[in-house]
Amino acid sequence: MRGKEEILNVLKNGLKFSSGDEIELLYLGRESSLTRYANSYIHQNVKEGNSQIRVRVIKNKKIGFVETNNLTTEGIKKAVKDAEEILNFTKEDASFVKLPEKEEVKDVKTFFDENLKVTPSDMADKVKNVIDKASKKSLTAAGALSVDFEEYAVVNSRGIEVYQPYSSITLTTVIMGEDSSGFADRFSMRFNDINEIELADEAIEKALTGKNPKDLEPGKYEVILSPYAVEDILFFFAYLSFGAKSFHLDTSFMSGKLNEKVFGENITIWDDGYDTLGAPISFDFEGVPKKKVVLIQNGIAKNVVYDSYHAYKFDKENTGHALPQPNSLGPFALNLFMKEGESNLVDMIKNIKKGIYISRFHYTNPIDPKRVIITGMTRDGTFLIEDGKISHPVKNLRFTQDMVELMNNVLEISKERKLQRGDAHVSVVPYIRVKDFNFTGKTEF
Amino acid sequence: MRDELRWIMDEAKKRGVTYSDVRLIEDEIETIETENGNVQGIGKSFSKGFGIRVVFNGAWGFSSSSKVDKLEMEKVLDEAINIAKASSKIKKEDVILSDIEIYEDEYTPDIKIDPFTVGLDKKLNLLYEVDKIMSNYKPVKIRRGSLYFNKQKKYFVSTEGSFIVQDRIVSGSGIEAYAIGDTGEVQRRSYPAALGGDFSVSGWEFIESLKLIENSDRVAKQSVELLSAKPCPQGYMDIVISGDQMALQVHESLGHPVELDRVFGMEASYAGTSFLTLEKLNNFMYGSKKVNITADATIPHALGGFKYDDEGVKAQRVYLVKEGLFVGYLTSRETAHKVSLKPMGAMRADGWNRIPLIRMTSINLEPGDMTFENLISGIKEGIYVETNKSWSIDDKRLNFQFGCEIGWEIKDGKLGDMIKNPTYTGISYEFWRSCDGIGNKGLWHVWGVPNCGKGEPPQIMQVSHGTAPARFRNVRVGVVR
Repeated sequence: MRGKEEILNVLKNGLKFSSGDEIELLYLGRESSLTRYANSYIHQNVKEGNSQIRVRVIKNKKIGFVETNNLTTEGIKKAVKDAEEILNFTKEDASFVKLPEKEEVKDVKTFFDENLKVTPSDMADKVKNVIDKASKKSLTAAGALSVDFEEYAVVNSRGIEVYQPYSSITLTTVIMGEDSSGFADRFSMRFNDINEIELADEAIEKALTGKNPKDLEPGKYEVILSPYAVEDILFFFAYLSFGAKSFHLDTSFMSGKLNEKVFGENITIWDDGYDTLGAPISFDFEGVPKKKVVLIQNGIAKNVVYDSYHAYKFDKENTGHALPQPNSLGPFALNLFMKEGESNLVDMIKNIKKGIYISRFHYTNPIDPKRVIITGMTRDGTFLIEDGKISHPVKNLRFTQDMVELMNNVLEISKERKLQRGDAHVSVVPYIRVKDFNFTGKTEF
Repeated sequence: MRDELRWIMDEAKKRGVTYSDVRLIEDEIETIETENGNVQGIGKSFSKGFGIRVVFNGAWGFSSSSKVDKLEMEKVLDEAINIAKASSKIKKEDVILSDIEIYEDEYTPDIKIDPFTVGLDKKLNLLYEVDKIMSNYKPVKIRRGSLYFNKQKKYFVSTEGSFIVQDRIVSGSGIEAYAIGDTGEVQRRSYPAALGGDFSVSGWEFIESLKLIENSDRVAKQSVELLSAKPCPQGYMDIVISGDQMALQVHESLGHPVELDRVFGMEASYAGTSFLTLEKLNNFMYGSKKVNITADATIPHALGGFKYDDEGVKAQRVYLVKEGLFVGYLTSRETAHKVSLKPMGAMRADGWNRIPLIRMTSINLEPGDMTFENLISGIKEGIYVETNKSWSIDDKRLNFQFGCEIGWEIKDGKLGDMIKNPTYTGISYEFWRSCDGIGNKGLWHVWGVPNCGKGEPPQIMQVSHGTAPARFRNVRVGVVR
């Protein structure tokens, strides 16, 4: 951890090296410790640290980028000069207007000092608690515990000067029996808030009840999707649909459909970088404060998220959703929330005559990005529900599902929601009960 | 720097490690992307750092830093040892590494034109020319082009005496056309392959060999034609799969399941395990007798090639599947020892800050003896598909489903009408057992795949696959929602 003063001084010093019209320096620093376990022992245990500065220089609407992890004065000077060298060759981007202006950034607490005291031994002890619980049930445990410290800072020639430290802890586990498995994960900004016992219990329960899975023929079934699966779906909407770039390129299902009903009336989804129920972050990778954006309200498409480039280009409000530049994805909703319902998992199961409980998806991928048709497998606990009760575990199934259609088929939403960390984002998501979920294949386990 | 690397390994020995190695890497990357005639981004990145791996108290520890000096090396070494001590609190047995031959060597691949000496104007003009050609088709609303270049110097030094310096230059490029119809339907065509194009351990000469300009018109035209193409037929039928799609087929259904760490469950919590369990080695028909698959890191210019892996094991060519029989795994020194195999050199890390994992090298479906016409003419009713659009496989690598960008009907041994959104699905070994024809050496190409993901924290690896078009019987196609 370099700290606010040192990082901002390094970045501000970098501003001086540019002879361009505008310049931005983005700092991304990370220290990460990860203890990975499998077959109930630690097989990988690593620590890494790296700091990078991304320089963006603009002159006559020409843009150059350079990234370096040489943070000495000479290193940054070279990066700025290299970025300017690019300007000699690139064409002007007529759609580029300017870098974002300074806006007030509200404070939000995202860093907890106590995590700095966590030792490799502390991490091993937490992992051991999971392994011991699994061993008592004659099951094996695999998973990973990571303790991450990040520092973000942005300085630009229009006066933006922001810094935020971030701490995050993620514990995952897959508990395995001979022919069954169960998954659980937990995410928090505080090491001591991670309850590994509760996590182990959740995964062990799935692994025990998943023994002796039976074959089930694919077809359309009513399903209950756990928050793990719902988070997966929301990620694809964020990736394929909720950003201004895909929206304006006409490759989003929401393109041309603002203020039209696209999902069921019971579906409301928004992005809010400040909500402490999620994993807050006060500004985006251009230093622009996060704004709450309602994406879907009672089934109606309301908004998409913007960064400075697309906001200026299309004369919209910059919502603070830039990724590090350059980036072909465009702006991205990283803090998604799905509105809770009134139901609960127990009642959802009771309400199904014949259906399937899905613990988790695996290896999901879009086969039609615009229509958000996704294929993937179930994993780590798939159960048949008959006459309002879990009947027996079933072998994993492949699905090929239109996710826009799915969001029109949601019958129940739980009041309970889970904070769920994905690969690139964090969501707060409920259980949902859905009709006509489309299974198209099966596997051998 | 060489003296410092030897010194820190001596320090490791003094601290009582059973084994240690240090990798120091300097990386330079240039990326150029255009979209609709504009520069989407020109980026350069520079990275330097080192990582130290130790076995202490019979367990692994690793730490790394971007600050390269003796003081920091000592600190990182002590961190790695401290981490190994923590690992040893929960171990089942001591880490034991297979013996290997120790090398002191320096290696520079054969590169004709260093891409970092080629002017940005020349690189951009290539992409602008491609864009101009694709812009002739009005429905093509999104046109993309990209170039990627990477120059790397890597030092590997171990307490066993290895001292290896390897240089590497990678070049790659790809173009895409997205046609959007009146109803909002989107169809994509990519060249030379999907997912960024094709990549090679080569210089600028590789970019010139791709003939991007010569293929731009076809790519754009086909994306438009797809808008009005027939849907993929549904049912079980014979299928011929292009070489670029076969690369991903090999990757997902054979490349990953033969990683021995995955077989041992070490990836269980992330991407899963493998159906190719130990008792199947030399005892399981993975495919038909026509199917021969090798791991070959010695192929010149292959993206998955190198001279030594990140444990200092010399590059090798080994069979994974021979005449259909499953005969080999990708191994590390640790996993090879567990099953009394000789390490075959597949440990690779994606940077100085990551530990090496078992990764694919160049995993190749060896060429057969058929021409493309032979493959097609042997089918009464079926489809031919090209270029990946989507991929998915279960967590033991059995049930897969792929989507492709384009296809054609095959009727009475001849290619017929174009079809859109083709998909096919199956169970890995059943699918490979149905293979009855593989294209000949003239159709065989080593495809560079730059973005294979594995591990926690995720590592992105450059791998490759030598493949030719191949034919499979009675495959389920046309899976729709």
